[in-house]
Amino acid sequence: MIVKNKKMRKRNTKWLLFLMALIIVLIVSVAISLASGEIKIGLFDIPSILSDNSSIEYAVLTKIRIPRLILAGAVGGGLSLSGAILQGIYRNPLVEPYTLGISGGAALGVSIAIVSGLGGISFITLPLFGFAGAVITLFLVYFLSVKREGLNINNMLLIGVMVSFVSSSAMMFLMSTTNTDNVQSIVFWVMGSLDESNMILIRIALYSALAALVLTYLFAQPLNALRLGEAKAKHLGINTSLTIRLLFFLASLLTGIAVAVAGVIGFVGLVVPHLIRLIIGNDYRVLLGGSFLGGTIFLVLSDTVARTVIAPNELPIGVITGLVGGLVFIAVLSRSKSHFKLN
Amino acid sequence: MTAKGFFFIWILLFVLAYTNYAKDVRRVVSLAPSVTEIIYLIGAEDKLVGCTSYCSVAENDDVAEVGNAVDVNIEALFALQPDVVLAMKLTKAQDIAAMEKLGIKVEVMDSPRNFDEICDQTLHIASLIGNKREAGEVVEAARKKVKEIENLSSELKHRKIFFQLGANPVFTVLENTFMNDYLSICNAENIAAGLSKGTISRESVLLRNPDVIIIATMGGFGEEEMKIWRTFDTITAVKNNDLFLIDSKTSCSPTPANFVSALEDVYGFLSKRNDR
Repeated sequence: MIVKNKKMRKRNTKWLLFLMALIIVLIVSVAISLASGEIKIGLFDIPSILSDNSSIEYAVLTKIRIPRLILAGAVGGGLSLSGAILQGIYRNPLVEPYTLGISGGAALGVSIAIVSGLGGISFITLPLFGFAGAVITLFLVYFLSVKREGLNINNMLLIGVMVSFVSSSAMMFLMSTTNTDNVQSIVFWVMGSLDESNMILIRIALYSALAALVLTYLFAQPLNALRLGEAKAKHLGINTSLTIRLLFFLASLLTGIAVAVAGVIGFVGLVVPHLIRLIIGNDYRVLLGGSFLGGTIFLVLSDTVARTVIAPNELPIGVITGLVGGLVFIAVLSRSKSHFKLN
Repeated sequence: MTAKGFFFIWILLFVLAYTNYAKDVRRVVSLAPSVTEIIYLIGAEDKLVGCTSYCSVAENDDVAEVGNAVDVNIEALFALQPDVVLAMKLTKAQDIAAMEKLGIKVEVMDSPRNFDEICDQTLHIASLIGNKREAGEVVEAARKKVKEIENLSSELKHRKIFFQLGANPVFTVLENTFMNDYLSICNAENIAAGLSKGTISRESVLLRNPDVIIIATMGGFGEEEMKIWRTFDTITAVKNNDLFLIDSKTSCSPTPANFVSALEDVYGFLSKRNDR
């Protein structure tokens, strides 16, 4: 008993240290991000800059760098958390937030809004249509997968992938039959960017990501039980069906909000949870928080690189997340002594 | 017959073949919206049998759609039996190879990089499909108008301009493009001069502090971009309320008439505020 307690204490200390290390890295990343850019801003000058609202530095900080930073953090954390949850409930390492057609649905929603001229083009109506598309897709995937005998996880995954293909084809159909103006609008929206100036949208993304983090912690133990498989988790007294459903909705809504505000930003939801697994293991009590912080750090740094690496030009954020995320992951996985496993 | 005689007949045949070529062209397919517009501009639309789904100028006429700007339906195109297909470099190389294999004559053209190249392209298209005289008139009228505006512009104050073309990421007009000519002809300076890529960060625009911001309409995105720029009140253009929208259709589609129309717009924006 004493030995077990000692082991647990050691493990808890390790987790705590890990999460604290991530928080320190996050603080450093935030500092780097705030200080980097074409206009030179010293880290220690920030307080004095913020007190003078007529300077160009003030405009850069409050209207460009800080909103982007918050959005990058919220979207990165949200997508990564969503990826960790979905990989957990599907017990499949290749699942990521976009696998289930959420992004495709959102993009289709926006395309329909643009082509039909509904609501006009504004930075509020398009995210709304994007979110509506994501929610419709998620219910579609859910209800198509529910059978009399319950929810079939593999069916759900396949239906999600198919819905994703159908919506992307439907979007291509719309794009090839509509006029150039609409095509331009659709392309601009789908490209995805953290260049969002609307604070309402940024706040929605931030609060929903934080709320989701708190909510998923209620399911940390059921997720741990699910690592053994649905049948065994049931024997442990977990209501697997309810857990899977709730987590599926939570992860999908979170992804829907991220896509609606920032467009499609790939690789975060796939790569970050895996990296965290490789470092600290598969226990969801640390994995959920670790993935959230990891995603936040990853996207904040990626955006900083995208903004500065070819300044004054800017790279699309997806280029950095794909390149850096993919390469780091391959390097870590191929050097890792242990085999990759989800349970 | 002497060698000299042979040579003479050969030259004669060559000249005849060349001069008759354009007259023989009766069926033309255009794979670029700007080319279609030029065909209408020079009054050769009766020869146009196929175009892309983005060629809005031909919308109400009985012209078959054979693809979009990038993809071409080769079968539909072949069924039209065109004498010549006019394409831009944007058309896929495989599609062009497939057309050539079917024995279709394809003329692939570069995007014009300045006003002179727009005029040359118009004359070149006429040399391929006919209506050379009309094309000459169109080009001459455009040149005259451009010269007029250039002369008037010498009175304009020299100002720094940010000309936005795209959003997500912000995309600017670059030097060595026909759109940059709108600025240089109007005695203005492009803040993106010296850049090789069009994606420009908002910070960079702030730093370069343009006197005037011109934004293409981009199917509705232009207005939204304008709202965003208005929040940056450290920019001179925003302080003085010198932000303008310009129609994407005319300013981005390189034909002599569109060029003149967009140039008039830009001149209008700049002359309105010349007192500042």
